[in-house]
Amino acid sequence: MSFLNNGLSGIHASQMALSVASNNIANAATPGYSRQQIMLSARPGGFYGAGNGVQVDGVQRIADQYLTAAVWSSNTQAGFATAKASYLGKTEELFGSEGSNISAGLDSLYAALNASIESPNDIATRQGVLNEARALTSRFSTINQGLDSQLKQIESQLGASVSEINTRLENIANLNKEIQGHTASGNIPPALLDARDQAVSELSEMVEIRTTENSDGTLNITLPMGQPLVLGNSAGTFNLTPDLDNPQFSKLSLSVGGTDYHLDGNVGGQLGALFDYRDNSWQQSRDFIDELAMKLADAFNEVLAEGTDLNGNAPEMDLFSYDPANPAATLKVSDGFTADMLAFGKSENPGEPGKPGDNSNLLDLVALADKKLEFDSLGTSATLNEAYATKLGQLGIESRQAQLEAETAVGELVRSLNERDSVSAVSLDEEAVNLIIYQQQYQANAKVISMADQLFATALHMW
Amino acid sequence: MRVTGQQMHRLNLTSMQQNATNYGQVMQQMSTGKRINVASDDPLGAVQTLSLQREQAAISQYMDNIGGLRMSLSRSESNLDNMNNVMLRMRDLTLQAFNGTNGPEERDGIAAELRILRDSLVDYANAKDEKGKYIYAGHEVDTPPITIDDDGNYVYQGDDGLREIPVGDGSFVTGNDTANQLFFNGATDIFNQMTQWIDALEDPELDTNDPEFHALFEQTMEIIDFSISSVGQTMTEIGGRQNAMNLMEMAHQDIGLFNQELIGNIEDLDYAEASLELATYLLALQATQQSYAQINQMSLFNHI
Repeated sequence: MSFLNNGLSGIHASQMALSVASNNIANAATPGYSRQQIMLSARPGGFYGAGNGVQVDGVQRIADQYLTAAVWSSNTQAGFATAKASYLGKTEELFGSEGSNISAGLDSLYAALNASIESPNDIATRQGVLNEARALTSRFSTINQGLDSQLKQIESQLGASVSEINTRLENIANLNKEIQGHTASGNIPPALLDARDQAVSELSEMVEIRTTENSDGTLNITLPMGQPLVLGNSAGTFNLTPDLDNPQFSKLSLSVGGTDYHLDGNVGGQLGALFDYRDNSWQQSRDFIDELAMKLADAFNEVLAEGTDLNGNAPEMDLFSYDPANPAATLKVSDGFTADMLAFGKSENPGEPGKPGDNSNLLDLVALADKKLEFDSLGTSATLNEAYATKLGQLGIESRQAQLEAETAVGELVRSLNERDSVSAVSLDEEAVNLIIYQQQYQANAKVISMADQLFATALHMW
Repeated sequence: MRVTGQQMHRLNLTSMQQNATNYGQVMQQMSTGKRINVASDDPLGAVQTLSLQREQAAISQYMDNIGGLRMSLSRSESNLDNMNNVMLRMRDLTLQAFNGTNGPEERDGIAAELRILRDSLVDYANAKDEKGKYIYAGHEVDTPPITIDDDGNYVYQGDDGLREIPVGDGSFVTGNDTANQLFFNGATDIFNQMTQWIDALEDPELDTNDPEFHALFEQTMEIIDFSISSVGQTMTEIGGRQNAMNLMEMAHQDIGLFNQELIGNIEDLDYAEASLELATYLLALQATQQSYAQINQMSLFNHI
């Protein structure tokens, strides 16, 4: 009666297979789920070794570690590139918007100065110059505020990212521990492996990682330079501390099992992008706008100091004032500066008073529009207007570059996800076929049992 | 290759997102009419536009300067023309006064008119512009250029300051002329000379045959003629400046138009091209949506 047992094993196997298929169908949309496959083999034995039914060897999780690692690596690239592109896009908008465009402000100031050229003693047009000078300083302050609030945003995003990463690391270490517990039995639940891969995947968006699998099933995670993030059951913690050299900035460090590693922020992923943007592009923009504010104020003040005011006297006060520690934020028309103090004239001989109708120093002010100044932050010499255009162009190119890199990285991520899904994701059509196959198998085996039953009954009738 | 539902969803989703993004971008371009809305749309074009805009700003400043200057030079021209007329009348009267047939009363009448003419010439030389500054005082725009000192003599109290007005890159046009250069260039000026001449004419004892009177007449005529020619020369010069400015203005207008066209070429949107693009993205978006909906209907589960 071995075919009764064969039928039973078939029913058993098809039930198992249907259960696996239904589990796959149920998880078709679960993020990070890897499809499972039943492993069947022919049971040896029986008459002349012809076989003894089917046996279920186990359930296999279909995953290709190489493809999964490729997804992680693409995640890192995409996380880095999109975060960077988003910040650069904001900065170029800040510098390019009408209200903060320094070039337009300079044009208005020069126009007001030109309006005074014919009647340098006219108080109304002089007042116009003061008004435009004030308007120009407020454009600086708009850009400065934009950069300030961007820094605040970066710093708070750094804090949020670090705590999210720490949670993930903790999570992965815990999953490692659970997986380790199952290693001895040889049956690691696929759901645990999926959960760990998913956690690592989310981690890889935030920082660049390297992984190595240990013989006990645990996964070690390190930074590319080797600093450990997860070692077996223990997780490291990222910390942010204020940078003593620059208290506005926070500094990244990592502590694992009592050892502290200082990190330069070049950690890849979204976290790395925040540091990269802050320490390079943001800092350059800040340096530039500070230098531009300083160069503008110094250039105008220097020329004005050579002249004489409406009363013929050497000026007692600078038009522009600023705090050298924070020029763009503090640039303003000096308190108490009035229109008659603008030194448009020039005394012909030292000590002699200037004349009200003299515009010779005003001509020198207007000539500042074409004067090249040395800009350290740009590494070139340029007029005030050219400097701003150059900066805007640089930001545009950087932002364009970052957008292209982000597009490429996201495309690469989609490609690697597709490759992974091609192997690991659930195909509903495939599962439908499985359902049909195993349903038929079940029915056929039930028939075998019922036939065995009939044969048995026939045999009984003989008596 | 094994194709799973996840891939299908992702493929269609990315494609729809991409098409929607592109569609939105073209929409934005069409609503602003500009191809470049942020520098990264075309960094080189953006920088080029910015520098062309600066050039446009400079040109419009030069044009404004030219406009203002043209007005003030025209004002000065008509003022100089008035001076000229006054001096021509002075010349006629001086000739008339020298005529030996005049009696003392006639000379008195002529002297009275000459006095009025002299005073009005002083007024013209002390003219102010609409902003209240003295036109012919050099840099001393708050001081009337011609006044009478304690000794009763006419003196010039302005200076020789000239205002240069930028009308182009490195091109300047002088914006003012001084009464000093108009009238006080020779040994004597027309104002003090006229006073002396009027005094002589009003002298009831005047002997018209007196050689001194003859000499005074000669000198007065010489100075009137000198002043007339000096004013005339200045008017010619101002005419020359006006011509130079007109040429400059035409050049600015040409460059301005050319720049405007360049800016347009760089940053303005080609609407025909944009509408075509818009239609293409819309079509692609709709096609993706339709095929996605259709693919989604395809499932073996519909048939078992």
